[in-house]
Amino acid sequence: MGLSGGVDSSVAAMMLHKAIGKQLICIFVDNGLMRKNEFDDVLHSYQDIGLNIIGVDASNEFLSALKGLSNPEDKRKAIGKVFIDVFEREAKKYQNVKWLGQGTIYPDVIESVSVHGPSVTIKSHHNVGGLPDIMGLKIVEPLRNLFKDEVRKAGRELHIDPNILNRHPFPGPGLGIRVLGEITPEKVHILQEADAIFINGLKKTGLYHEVWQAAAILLPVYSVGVMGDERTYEQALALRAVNSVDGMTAEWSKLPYEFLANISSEIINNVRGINRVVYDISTKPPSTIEWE
Amino acid sequence: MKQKILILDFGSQYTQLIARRVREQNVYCEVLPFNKYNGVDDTVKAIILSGSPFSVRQPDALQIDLNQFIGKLPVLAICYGAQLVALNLGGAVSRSDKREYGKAMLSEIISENDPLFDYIQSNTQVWMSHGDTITDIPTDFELIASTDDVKVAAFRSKSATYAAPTYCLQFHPEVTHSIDGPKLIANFLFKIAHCVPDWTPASFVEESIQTIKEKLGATK
Repeated sequence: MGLSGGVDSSVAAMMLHKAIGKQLICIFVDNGLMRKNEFDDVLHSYQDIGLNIIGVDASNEFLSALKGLSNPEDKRKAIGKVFIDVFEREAKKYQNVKWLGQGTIYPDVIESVSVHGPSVTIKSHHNVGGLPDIMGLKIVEPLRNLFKDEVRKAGRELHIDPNILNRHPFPGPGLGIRVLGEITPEKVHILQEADAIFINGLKKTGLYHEVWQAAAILLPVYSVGVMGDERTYEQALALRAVNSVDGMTAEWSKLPYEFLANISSEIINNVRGINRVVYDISTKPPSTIEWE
Repeated sequence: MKQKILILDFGSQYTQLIARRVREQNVYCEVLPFNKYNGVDDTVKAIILSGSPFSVRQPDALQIDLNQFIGKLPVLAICYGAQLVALNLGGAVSRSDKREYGKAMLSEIISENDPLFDYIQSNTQVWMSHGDTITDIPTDFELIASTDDVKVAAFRSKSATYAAPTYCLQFHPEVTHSIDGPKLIANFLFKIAHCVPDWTPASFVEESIQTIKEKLGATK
C-alpha cells in the first residue's frame, strides 16, 4: 500500500502489518513537496516499527511535471498523476501482488453511499487513498468502519508513535499547494525553511496541540524591505493556524502576539527570500483552510 | 458475529452524529440508506431511524415499510423518523405555525419511570429542528414528554403493543446541545435494546486484524 505519513495510512498499514507481516509492502513516495526532513524522519519511524517499507525519491519527477503550472487545479492534477505513475511503476516490481491497501475511513464510505450521493466537492480530492483501479488489484480497507477518533484510538492500541498520531492534517499535494502560483525548487526550499521555523516554534511553546492545523504559505507577492543599509525586494509569507473539530468549519487561532512577533523576526532574519510575514485571520467558511 | 445497531439514514445532516454517539457508548453501529434496507440478522439489536431534510407530508416523501421491523426489534425514531412512525401507524402530522428550531426545554417528562429517561430530569435542554409537527400519535402509543411549544416531543408504543418497544423523539438527542442526549442514547442502547458495550479500541483492532487475515490469507 501507499503510505503518506498521515494518521490514516499509518494506522491502516500497521493493522495490515499485524495481520500479514512481511507480506505487506509499503511504498512511501518522496514528492519533494514535504516538510523539511519529513521524508527521512517518517521513513525511519516506519522502519523502527518494523514495516516492510520502500522509500522512493521521485522529487525531480514531481517538480518537472509542475514546471509552468500555476493554476491550483492543474497543480493538484499533475501531482496526483505523477503519484499514480510512480506508485504503479514501483508496485509492478513485485510479483504476485493481489491486494491494494487503502486508508479509507467510515465517513468516506457513508458519503459515497448516502441518500443524496457524494456531496459536491469544493476541491478535487487530495487523498493518497484515492488511487484508481490499477493493475486489477483488489482493495483492502482496514479502517473502512472507523471514524477518525476511532482511528486514533486504534493507533494508540497499536503503539504507533504519538508524533504520527497527533500530527496536524497535511494535504496530499503537500507544499505544492502552499507555494502559490508556479512551483520552483528554490521556492519549495524557502517555504520548507520558513515552515520549519513556524512548526518548531509551535512545538517549543506547547501551542502545537492547541491548534488543529498550522501552515506557512509562500505568496507570489514581492514587496520592498530594508535590511541593514540594503533595500530588498522579496516575497511575502503568510502564516495560517486554525482551530476546528472536523475540518468542516474552522476559526483562525488567536496565537499570542509575542509568539507571532518572534516567529516573524526569526523567519525574516534566517530565510533568504522572505522579507515580510503576515497572519491569516479568515474563518472557514467563507475562506478555506488551505489557500489553493 | 458482533452485535450491532442499524441506523437507517433518511439524509439528515446529523446521521453521522447518531453513529458517533452510539460508538461513543462502545456499541458498534452501521449507517444504511433507508432504501438499501434488506432485512436484519441476529446481530442487529435495534434500529434507529434518522431525521431528514424532507417532509413526510410531501407526496414524494421517503418511505419505508415499517412493518418489516417495528415491534420485532427495539426502534428509536428521531425527528423525521418519529413523524414517519406517527403518520404510518394512524397518527397525524401537520405543517405547524409553531416551528421549532434551536434549544427547547423538555418541560414535562410524563413517564418518569420510563427506562429511556433514567437519570434524566424534567426541563433538560434538547435540540429541535423541524418544520412539521406531530399532532396526533397512533392509538397504541403513549405520550412520554412535551416541551412548552410542542406537545408531542416524545412518545412510545404502549408496553402491551409489541414484543419490542418503539420510541419516537421529535428532538435530536445526537446533537451536543441536547444536554442529556448521551444519557438518553445510552439508556436506549443498554436498558431497552440490552446491548453489551463491547466495541472497544482493543476489540476493533483485534477484529480488524482477524478479518484481514481471513480475507488475504497467504496472498499479498
